[in-house]
Amino acid sequence: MAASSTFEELYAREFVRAVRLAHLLTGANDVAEDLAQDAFLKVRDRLDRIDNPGGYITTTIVNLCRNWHRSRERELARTQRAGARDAVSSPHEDVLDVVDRLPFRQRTVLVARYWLDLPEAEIARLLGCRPGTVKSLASRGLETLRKELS
Amino acid sequence: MSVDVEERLREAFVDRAERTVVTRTGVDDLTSGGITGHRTRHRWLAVAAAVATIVGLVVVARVRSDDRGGADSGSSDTASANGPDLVIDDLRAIDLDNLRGSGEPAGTASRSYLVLDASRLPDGWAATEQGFSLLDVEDPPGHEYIYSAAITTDDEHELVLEFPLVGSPSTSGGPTGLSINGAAAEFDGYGVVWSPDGDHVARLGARPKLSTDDLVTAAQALTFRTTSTLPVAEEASSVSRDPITLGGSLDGVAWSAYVEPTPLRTMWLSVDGARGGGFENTRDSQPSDAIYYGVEASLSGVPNRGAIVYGYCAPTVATIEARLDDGTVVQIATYRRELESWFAVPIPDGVVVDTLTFVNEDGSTLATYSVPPLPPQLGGTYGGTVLRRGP
Repeated sequence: MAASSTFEELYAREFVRAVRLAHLLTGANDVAEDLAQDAFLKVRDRLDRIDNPGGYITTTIVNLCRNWHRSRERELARTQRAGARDAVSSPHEDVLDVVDRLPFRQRTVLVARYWLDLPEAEIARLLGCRPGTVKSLASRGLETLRKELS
Repeated sequence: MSVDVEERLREAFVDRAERTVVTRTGVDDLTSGGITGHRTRHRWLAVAAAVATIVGLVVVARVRSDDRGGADSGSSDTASANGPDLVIDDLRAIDLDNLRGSGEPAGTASRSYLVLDASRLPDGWAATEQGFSLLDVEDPPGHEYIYSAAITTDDEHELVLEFPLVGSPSTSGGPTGLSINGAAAEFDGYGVVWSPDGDHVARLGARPKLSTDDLVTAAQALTFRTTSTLPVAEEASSVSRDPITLGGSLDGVAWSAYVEPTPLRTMWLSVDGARGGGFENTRDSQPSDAIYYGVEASLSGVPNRGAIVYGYCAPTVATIEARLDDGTVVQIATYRRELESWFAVPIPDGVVVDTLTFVNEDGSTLATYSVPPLPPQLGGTYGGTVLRRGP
């Protein structure tokens, strides 16, 4: 019962954030909620063994989004159709359009740095790379944005 | 164009996040069998993913993530006491080309570098990214260029391959029972470590995490090649922004830098001003209206031309003293503004600069930057070495 209550608290605290994170990492709102759901289902059965459920959710979302991108790329390669995009336009469409075309790791670093406000070391742990690699990925992503938006 | 890409990025992310539609309102709305729920092939890896949240990459080189302790103190090691051999106070004529002779002639010190052979990956695998980073290391003090590659596999793993380009540390050498293509290997807590060529020591990790045996199998599937050209991290592009704040010559070609007239702490740097040998890069901007007390230096390489060390520092810094390996000292003026000073030091091939010393207007030393080795083929941008943060 206690575990259930804790899970409900986690859900109340983190679910919307998780959906938003998945939305930023995929660019597809409809997919984002399903991915967030999958992340919470993964955490539900092992909540008592996880020290940092919020961090676990974040990592799981990133992994699920990475897998989603790979599956989608394979599907796109087969069908040659346009990628998933938000139906509603945004005043930041130009920026988001470039973000949506960045390689996954560059995109994740930018989201982690500028939306999650994670420190470099934390982003490195999230991606399983060195802090220097995070810096390099961020630099490449920002450079692409500057070039594309100029 | 607004140069504040980072601010636009923040706003765009906030906007998209706020527009996110969430239909599920409670745990009772969670249903099994979502996007990934039907997958059972690698269910056990979810446990590995949990472990991966707390197991970080054990790096080959420890990164100095914070202040170097103020670098050098005192000014006895600067040229201030004896006077510089050359003074450059024209901010648009910063040029060390005529100092060649202290190092090897341009182009003669070619090296070969080990990289992943992305064309010979197993079917269904792909190298998604390759690049280089420059890291500071503590023991012994110095720098390392790190090569890294991300590889996706056909079973939805991402392999991360990393190794220092030069000066690789050795593995423990102890008996591990592991072997990768005939080379002794060990598991260091994150990935398998081995030497694919008897010289470099590589590490291969995976996300989600793989067992040691699976990592060994994956490592055995990788092939390597050597190249004499370091890949350039950023594609060359043209840039032309007036007015030029700093400029001069690098190996006979013009370089220039433009400092944004805003509190963004952003510098635009170009060499040759055009494609085909030129490049453009920017620092990560940091909007601030506060006085900067530290020193932050970045490095951009121009293959077979040299490199430029550039950045910003406390507004008290009036000059930078470049000490060459033959003892020559060159004093270079900084571009001083109210909140910070800007600097750029071009180092052409054939000139070896050991240190850059940041000298305050009262003659004292704020910090000293040890210039990393600059392979002739060095390309790309290696940013953000913080020498000193606070007053």
